[in-house]
Amino acid sequence: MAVIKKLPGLAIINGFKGTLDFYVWNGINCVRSWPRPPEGPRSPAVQATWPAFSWATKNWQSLSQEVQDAYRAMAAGTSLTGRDLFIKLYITKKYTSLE
Amino acid sequence: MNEFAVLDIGYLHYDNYIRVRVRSSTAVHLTCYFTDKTPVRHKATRLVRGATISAGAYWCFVGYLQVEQDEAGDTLIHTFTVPDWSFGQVKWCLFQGTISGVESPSVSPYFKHAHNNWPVASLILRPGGQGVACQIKFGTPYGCPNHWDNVNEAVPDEDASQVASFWITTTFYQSDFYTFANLPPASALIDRITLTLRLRRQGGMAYVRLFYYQLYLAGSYDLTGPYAIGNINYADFTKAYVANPFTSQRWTFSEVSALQAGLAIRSYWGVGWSSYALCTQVFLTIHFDFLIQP
Repeated sequence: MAVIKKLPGLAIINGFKGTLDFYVWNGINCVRSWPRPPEGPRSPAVQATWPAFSWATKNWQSLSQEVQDAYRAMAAGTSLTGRDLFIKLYITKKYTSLE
Repeated sequence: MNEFAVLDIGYLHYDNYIRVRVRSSTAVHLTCYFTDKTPVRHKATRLVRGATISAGAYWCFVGYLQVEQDEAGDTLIHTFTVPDWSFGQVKWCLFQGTISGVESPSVSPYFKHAHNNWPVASLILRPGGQGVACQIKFGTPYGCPNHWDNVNEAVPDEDASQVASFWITTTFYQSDFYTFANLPPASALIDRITLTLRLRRQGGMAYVRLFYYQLYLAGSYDLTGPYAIGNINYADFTKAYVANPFTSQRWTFSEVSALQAGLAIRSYWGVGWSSYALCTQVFLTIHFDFLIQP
């Protein structure tokens, strides 16, 4: 990713399609290499999270209303939904801190 | 997988503590972390090629204490006794755990809960009106149909207000049934109910059978007895009904709301002696259990 002063014209942007990706993030003009999925197999650590992620994405509805509401209340004021937060907290503790 | 999710949560309220029960998706050994401090959300950021960008949020759970589940080992049902939690007080709980002794990466959301006294562990219902019968011969100070007002005091006043089979020259039982307040709905099950009668005998023989416990529901009667009253001074006699005797099933809230309870007492006359029974207090105790059951 690189910051550029000004976005080029649409013809130039279209000309680089598949090679460079021009975009605006938070009012900053940027360009990056065209996003591609990583090549080769994912790392064992990443692969290890797949079953948990899969379970969490399928089981939001198995939570009682009170538990769903707890996730929603916790996610209020963020860009996350209650379901997003459920998936995150199911997989990792890194979003909470006991102090 | 070493992850778990909390699927459901329930509470039973006691005077100065709360019991919390949780159902989890996986067998896990949980610890409940609880605090009376509002958890704080912080913005998380990360540095990407010199630029600080938003990375969402994280939550701090501060000033907490912890309590381990009552059940041994990894379980699907987890019960906690959270101490020092009185009426009106708000606390937050979250749960972490181990599976086969290995720390799980999962964490529950935090649950905000106020001690609101409902559902409670047990609730006492006292007579509030006359039921299907008011046959006991004497009432002090009130006669029929207000016998219920003689036996509904919270602190027993013994002979000051009571019903009695006194001076009845018959061995027939005389019945009183009383109505009780409706049970408000609650996220709980009814574990059992108990009927308590505070009785004494006057005169006669201790072994003489003088009373029955009685229930009435939707046109049906359930009588348990007869029993003797050995005591000259008042004492509590209690009968527990784990299942509804009319259905042999667990009690429902609507059944308890419609239930009438009371007693049958009699006098007994022998050659040269007589016994009669007095009752100063009648009440039902409703014992609740978690909606979440194994």
